[in-house]
Amino acid sequence: MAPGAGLEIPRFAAACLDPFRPSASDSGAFTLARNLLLAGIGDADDWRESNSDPVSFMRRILIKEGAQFNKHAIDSVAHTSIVFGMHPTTGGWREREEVNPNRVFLTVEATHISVVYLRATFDLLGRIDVRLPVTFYRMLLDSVREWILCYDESAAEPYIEYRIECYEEAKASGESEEGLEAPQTLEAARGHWLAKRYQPLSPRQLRASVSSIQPDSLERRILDSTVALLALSHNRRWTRPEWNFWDECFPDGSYTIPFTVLAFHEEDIVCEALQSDEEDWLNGGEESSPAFFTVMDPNDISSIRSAFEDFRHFLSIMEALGKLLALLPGADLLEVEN
Amino acid sequence: MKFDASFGEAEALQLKAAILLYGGARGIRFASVHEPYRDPIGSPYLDAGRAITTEFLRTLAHELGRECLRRFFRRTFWHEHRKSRPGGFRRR
Repeated sequence: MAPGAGLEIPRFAAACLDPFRPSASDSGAFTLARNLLLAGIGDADDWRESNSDPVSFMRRILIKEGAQFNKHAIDSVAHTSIVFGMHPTTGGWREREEVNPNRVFLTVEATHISVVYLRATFDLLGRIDVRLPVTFYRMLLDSVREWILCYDESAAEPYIEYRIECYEEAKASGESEEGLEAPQTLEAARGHWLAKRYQPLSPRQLRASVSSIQPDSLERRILDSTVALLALSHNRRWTRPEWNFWDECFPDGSYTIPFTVLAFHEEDIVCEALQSDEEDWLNGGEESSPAFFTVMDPNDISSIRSAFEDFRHFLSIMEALGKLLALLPGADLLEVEN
Repeated sequence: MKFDASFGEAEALQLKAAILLYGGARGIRFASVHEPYRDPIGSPYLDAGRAITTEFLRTLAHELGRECLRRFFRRTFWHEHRKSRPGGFRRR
């Protein structure tokens, strides 16, 4: 038993509550922080506010970058998890020896994705000009092609081929056609507004058509937003990395969750294909790879600057797409089950 | 949008809590967790403790996460592997 009337409360050294960093844990974080400052990303105030901690500094400048954009608009496309660091995925983890210290990632993965059923918009625009729906659709696909991973009719093609094969095999094996459900064709899903007889308007024809629409009408705002989105997407090129680089960065990533689904109506073949793919993805137990990422060399200021320019451009397109989706009838948000 | 950053083990650490273990001859019988208290007129000391709950241990295990498990498994399996290594593979 302790002697005396009571126990004296043990005290710590005065500095024991100060943050500390285990020795040999730097691994280039301070070099990256310095080069971020030299690249003009973050400033001395950010460094001070982060208590001179490089990881807090990285987190702080990431939040600051995101704050320059309309969060509500971006959330209309997808709720995202944005990670800045040496591990390329949110849940990703590597052995220390597998981590390449010359590669730092900025990755974006969706936790909720949007789905838009385009038929209602086609109907709206088709009443003004029969060639407007296909013009709008082409512009939309062209705008998102490079920067925003979408699940659209092209992503559904392998599933459609598979469904047709199954149907043909069942027919060939002698099953009665009455008991078989023929797969929906893409033409049927698209509807009559995207029939081959309607060709997209030229830019000059489009300008003339748009200028004839009442400025504050929904149709005009949809078309103005689409034109603005297309122009923005062409301002900067982003080349999706080659498959071997992708494999090297995400060796365990077997699928990628898109940011948005461009379907035609709620029960079309695109939605059916997505549902089938989603079951494969989520039941497979494999890791996902991010739908958008940029890589930088922490020792190279121009590489850091370029990666952040890509990242800002990506966010600006997400923002512009979000503003457009908010105008479209038939847009919805889906939760990704992980 | 949710933001996160990581850079190996470069994140600064700070004392968050201390676990005190109490026991007799037959092992540990009780454990409490204490948060450090910054005394404005003296050195910091440990605040009053709370008994450790299963939920606390679950959260602790989750937060220590895979890094801790990795170290544990590497050590355990490496030793197991060494023990069961056939003699024929011994280096001359």
